[in-house]
Amino acid sequence: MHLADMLALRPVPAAGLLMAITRRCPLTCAHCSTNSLLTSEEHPAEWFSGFVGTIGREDRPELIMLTGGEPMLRPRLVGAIASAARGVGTRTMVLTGGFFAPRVPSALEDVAHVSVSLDVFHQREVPRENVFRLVHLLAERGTAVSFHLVGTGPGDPYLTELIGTVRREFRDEVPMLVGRVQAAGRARAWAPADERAPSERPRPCTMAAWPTVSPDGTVTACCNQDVLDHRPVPGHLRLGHLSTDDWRSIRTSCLTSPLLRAIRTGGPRWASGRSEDGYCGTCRALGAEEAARPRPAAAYLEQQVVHAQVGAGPAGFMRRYGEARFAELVMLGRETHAV
Amino acid sequence: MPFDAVRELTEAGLDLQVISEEQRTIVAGLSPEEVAMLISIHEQLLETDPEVEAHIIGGLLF
Ligand code: SF4
Repeated sequence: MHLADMLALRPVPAAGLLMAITRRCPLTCAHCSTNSLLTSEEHPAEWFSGFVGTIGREDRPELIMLTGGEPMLRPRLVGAIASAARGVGTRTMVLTGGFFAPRVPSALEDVAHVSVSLDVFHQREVPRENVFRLVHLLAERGTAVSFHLVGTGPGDPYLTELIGTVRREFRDEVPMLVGRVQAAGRARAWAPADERAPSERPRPCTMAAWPTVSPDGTVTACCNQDVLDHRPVPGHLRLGHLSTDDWRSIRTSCLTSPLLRAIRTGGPRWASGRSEDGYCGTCRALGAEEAARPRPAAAYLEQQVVHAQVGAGPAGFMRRYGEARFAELVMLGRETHAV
Repeated sequence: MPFDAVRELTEAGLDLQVISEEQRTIVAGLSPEEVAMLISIHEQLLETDPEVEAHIIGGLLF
């Protein structure tokens, strides 16, 4: 499954499921958003595999994305999830730092897409040539591949060099998702705050479309790092927990919560009529008892906004959430590697 | 001229061809604020360098 086809689903509620299956990581990248160490928290594999086992073919997500920490520290769990998901028609993507490169672990057999993080920080921990070798090997055996790149902005010289090198090395056949280092986790201490100005315009929160499983088993409505890291999770953003809820109930909560639907439609300010500290700050400040403004046309409005975002395509999504200048790079190889 | 949601949306270039009769009734009942929201989002999605909300989502965009 090509990166662009996965991104095309990003605005569609419950079309995907994000799972951080461990917070542990063998690398110590300076920009790590999850502040991961080899000693970070990790919870029973059965929580994660058991939850995926509750997914039925008729209401399945199209995609499960496994992340962490470093998900490949739990290869058996990755293999078990990918195999169970495949059994109901769901595809699995793994986002990895590639510490095992250039060796290809057998756990990736049922995985439809492997995306490898590559940037100035990862490169200090895993040599670039090993990562390239890994991606070549995966591509040769038919696994869809991509790179996750981050830089400090569109003018970052390292990022520009890296993009050029990847394009040449893989003859424009491997897509890249290019973002910006954000002030979260270990980068909080040094990354500059994003200077891109907040807007008062209504803006759908696409991030609230896919349920996200934290390493501690809590399932949240979005992947905002502050939401994942702080407990308790604001009531409207907590969908449940792996130990007590199955996919069906998580999916139902995601799809039917009036406040979440309004946040997906016009963003937290539009949904609540409140304006606190920024976009996500406003959202996180909302109480569990907060109700969305009653709107008879809520379902129609949400449907229209989702439809419009899908129409803007994968590059449209990247223009809003990634580094706009490099948005089109998610399309590389799409012609040759359609779904 | 009284507020006409369908006209406003059509004039703003939103594609209403696909909607059913039932949906047309819903659209006709949209408030000016809801229509403005739809038009604003439609415009933002056409921008080549749109404003970005810092979501603090960590290194990944998914
Ligand atoms: S606006 Fe709310 S739902 Fe969306 S990413 Fe921010 S905290 Fe999460």
